[in-house]
Amino acid sequence: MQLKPNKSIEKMTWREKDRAWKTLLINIIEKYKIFKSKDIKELRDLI
Amino acid sequence: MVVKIIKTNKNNKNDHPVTKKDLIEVLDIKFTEYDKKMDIKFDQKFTEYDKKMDIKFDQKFTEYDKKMDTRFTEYDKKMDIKLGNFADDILLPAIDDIIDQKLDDKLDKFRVNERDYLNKQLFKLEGNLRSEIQEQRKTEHKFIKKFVKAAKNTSCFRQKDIIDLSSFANNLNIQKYAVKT
Repeated sequence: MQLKPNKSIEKMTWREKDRAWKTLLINIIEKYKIFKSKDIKELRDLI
Repeated sequence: MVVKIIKTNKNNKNDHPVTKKDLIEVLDIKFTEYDKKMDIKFDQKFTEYDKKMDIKFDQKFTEYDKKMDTRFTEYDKKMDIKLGNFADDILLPAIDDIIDQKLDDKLDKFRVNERDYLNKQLFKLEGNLRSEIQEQRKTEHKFIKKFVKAAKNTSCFRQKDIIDLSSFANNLNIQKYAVKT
């Protein structure tokens, strides 16, 4: 899932915020290759 | 007068004696005249009497009408006062009581219906919220479990942090928000 670029955090619903921080976390983990790509894919599916 | 007539008749009928028949004729004439006069007099008297009686009756009836008008006016006033008192003391309070009673009944019914409806709606809403929260908790739980599992395969996390995350996932109280039936 990608963050909506034009929507501010204040206007997000709590569900959107929840997805957003999880997505950010997974993006960081992916960038620094902390988890295996298979695990990252499974985590993205659970968001 | 009678003698005069008899004499006149006597002169006219060539000196024949006055008979009983003559007398009766004369008397008939006189009585007839008398009757006529009396009739006229009686008529006049009766007419006058009628007029007087009419006037008197008119006066009496006028007085009676006035008296009756006055009495009825007084009676109307008394009745107005009595009806007013009756309306104030009995009728209006009774109507108020009836209206209050009916309103109370209607309001009671309305309150019961409203309470039932609100209870149903609240129960429905609570069920929806519980279902929503439980679904969210389940997703959260799966995500953290998966995260912990992935973290265990790397050397980037401390063992303590992994245990903390795991216990966090186990304490999400999913069953607390199970939908009531």
